[in-house]
Amino acid sequence: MNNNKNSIKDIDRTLYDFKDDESRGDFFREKEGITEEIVRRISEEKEEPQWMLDFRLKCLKIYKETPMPVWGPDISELDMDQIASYVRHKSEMKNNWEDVPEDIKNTFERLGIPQAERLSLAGVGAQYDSEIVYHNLKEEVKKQGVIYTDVETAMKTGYEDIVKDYFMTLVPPTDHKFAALHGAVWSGGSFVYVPKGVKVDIPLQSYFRLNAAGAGQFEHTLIIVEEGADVHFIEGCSAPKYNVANLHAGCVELFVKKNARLRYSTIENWSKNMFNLNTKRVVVDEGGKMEWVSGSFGSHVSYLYPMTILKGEGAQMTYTGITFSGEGQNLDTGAKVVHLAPRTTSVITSKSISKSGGIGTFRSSVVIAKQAKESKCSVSCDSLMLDSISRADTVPAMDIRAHDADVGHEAKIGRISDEAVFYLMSRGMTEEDAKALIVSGFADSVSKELPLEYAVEMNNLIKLEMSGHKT
Amino acid sequence: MNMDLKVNISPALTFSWMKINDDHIKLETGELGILDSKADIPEGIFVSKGDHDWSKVKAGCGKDVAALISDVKGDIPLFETAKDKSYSKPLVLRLKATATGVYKAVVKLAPGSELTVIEHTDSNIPEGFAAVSVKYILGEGAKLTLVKSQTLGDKFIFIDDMGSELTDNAVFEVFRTDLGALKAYQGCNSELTGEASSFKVLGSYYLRGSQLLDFNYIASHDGKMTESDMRFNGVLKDESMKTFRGTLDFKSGCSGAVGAEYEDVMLLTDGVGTRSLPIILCGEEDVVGEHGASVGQIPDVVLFYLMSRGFSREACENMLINSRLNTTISKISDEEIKKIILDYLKNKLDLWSIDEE
Repeated sequence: MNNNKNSIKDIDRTLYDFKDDESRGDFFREKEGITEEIVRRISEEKEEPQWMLDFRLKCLKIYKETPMPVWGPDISELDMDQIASYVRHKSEMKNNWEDVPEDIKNTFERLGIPQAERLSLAGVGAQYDSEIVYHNLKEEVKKQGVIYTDVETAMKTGYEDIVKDYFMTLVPPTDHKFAALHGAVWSGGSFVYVPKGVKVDIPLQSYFRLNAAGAGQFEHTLIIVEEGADVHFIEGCSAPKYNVANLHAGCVELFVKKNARLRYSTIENWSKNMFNLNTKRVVVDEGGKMEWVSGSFGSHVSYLYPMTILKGEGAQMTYTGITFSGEGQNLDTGAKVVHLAPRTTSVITSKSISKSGGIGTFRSSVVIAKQAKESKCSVSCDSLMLDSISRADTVPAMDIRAHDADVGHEAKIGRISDEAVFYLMSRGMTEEDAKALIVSGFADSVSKELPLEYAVEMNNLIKLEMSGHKT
Repeated sequence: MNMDLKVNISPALTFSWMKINDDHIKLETGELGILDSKADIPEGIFVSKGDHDWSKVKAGCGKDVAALISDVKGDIPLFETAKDKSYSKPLVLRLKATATGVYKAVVKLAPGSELTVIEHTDSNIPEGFAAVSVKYILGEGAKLTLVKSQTLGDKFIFIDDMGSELTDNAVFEVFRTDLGALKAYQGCNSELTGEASSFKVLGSYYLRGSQLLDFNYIASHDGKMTESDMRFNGVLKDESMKTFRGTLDFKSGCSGAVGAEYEDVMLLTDGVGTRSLPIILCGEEDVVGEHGASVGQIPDVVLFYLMSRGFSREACENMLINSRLNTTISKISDEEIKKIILDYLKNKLDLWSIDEE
């Protein structure tokens, strides 16, 4: 019998769904829950200066006093008393893959990180659970004066003042409950400093892997791109799937100075037991340019809205994002922008695909302050529903206070058009090929913004393939 | 009495710091009574008590407003059409605020009937509080055109809490013009439960001084092949402020439904503020939902074109304001109300009317 079945498959996560055994004694695991004792122990473990411990304790107090968000997906399943906030391998950070413990090295080998470093990256950081296990920067980039390490190392190698000046100033702990939590238990992440006028031709990449069941990852990324400098930073993340909840509450703070440019690309592929409550924010000075490229494919629940503050005249921002919500996923993603200076511009382009009961929500906010004269903003969000058991919502908000602002906004939700399928089929394509072409065309505006290897990864992730099974 | 009402709550909440999820009305008034009203009732409309129908239809401003209006004692008139009858004359509701008060009513269209309702709210005093809540129930294949306008005094607080239920093939079209009041809150909930029912709104407003307009429109698509279209054209001047919340809610099973919401806001001066939350909630695959918004000043090319024809900048602005307002004013078929509106534009807003040219 010829049984042709038309389907667009869920994301194939087998590539990421492998785990290392944590019980062999190579790991240190903090007990579950968030207490002052734990916070003090993390700080002591890291041999931090007193100001950082004081800051952590202040954040803990704010965390306890701050209510859960009243909007967005339900996160009542997340029990913080069951989350271990700090898990680390007993090995120290290395700058040679050969020195990284075998099991961890194998993990990153399977994820293709060392290969990518050899082929196309200027520097790589690899975090495993709570700590960075590998960090390296090409010699020629080092010679340009670029600093690329983790935040802890930066504080111990002469950059403490910079960290102190910038750390959680853009995302204060009062921002929301999980920003405060992050401030209390943060660990690992990236510190990047690109000096004035330096252009880093090939990207830097940090990869975050959460291996431990029931654990949280709270990495902090701090990037400062000085006047006229230019860099592309790539962030990837994944985890194996467990039956207990994991939490990711990272924080990204970016500072783009006058006429500088930063591109920040993310491919997020957490497992479906992950609560991804991440906060990303950038402040852009005069003439600076920020480019966000974001692919959200994993996690059980996501709250993810990179925020851009256009502080200097003529500053620019683009956000290009795609979200694929499959079975058991509730992904609430989008972008926020605040125009504070004249002649600033922002462009937000979002694509969302919902399938197999997945919930995809595009959420955005655009604020144009009174002084942001002649500023322009364009927001576009398209959502594709692939079946009737899924959901696709759009919740964009705008607050415009400058009378000479120019703001355009458009959104569209729908399914694959029958007319488009008919048209392609009348040109000789099969129905499966026609649908596959339409869906890959839908995602194309995002994939073309990604570095080539990530575009390929995205295509692998989505598996937007039509199958014609014969039984 | 002291009031602290949470109004116009969005069906889907967003970032709390935006302060756009709802609004609050705090004010102190005397005891609320029933607004003066006069109804021109076409022959063949039956009038009775509509308390039950009024209570069962959900409106858009939220439960605080519903409770406030519900608590005011007084009969709720029910205007009911006859089956399959098309009315050549409109039902005209003239509401006059002489102090603080509310007006509530139900308009029920029997299957196959067709009616136009003209509703105008005015005042002969500059300051006060008025709340109007009319619920509309449309039977199968009924067609209702509602033309609403409001020219309340400059210091009025106004609530317009509207609700509607549409059964199969019912068509509900709303044209509204909002000019008066210091603070106006509009809530409108339309339940498209019947197959192929249709709800369309075209609204225009002109805010100046420190006027505030806050609105919350919800089109809830339950029935298959239902249609909604909500469009608002507005002009903001001085320190005025507008908040628009619009929701297209496609419920599971409403296959073939189509919904759209569009907003075009013209900003004339520094100091104005415009906030928007156009939401699409989609639990059904086979639908098309769209929203679009355009916010900005008068495009240079338009100004250049008009000024090159000899108009001053002020005349160009007036012409463009008029053109927006006329899209809804032109739907007012009652000459008396139309004159009130045109006089308001001419005398109070110093806008000449295209209709007079």
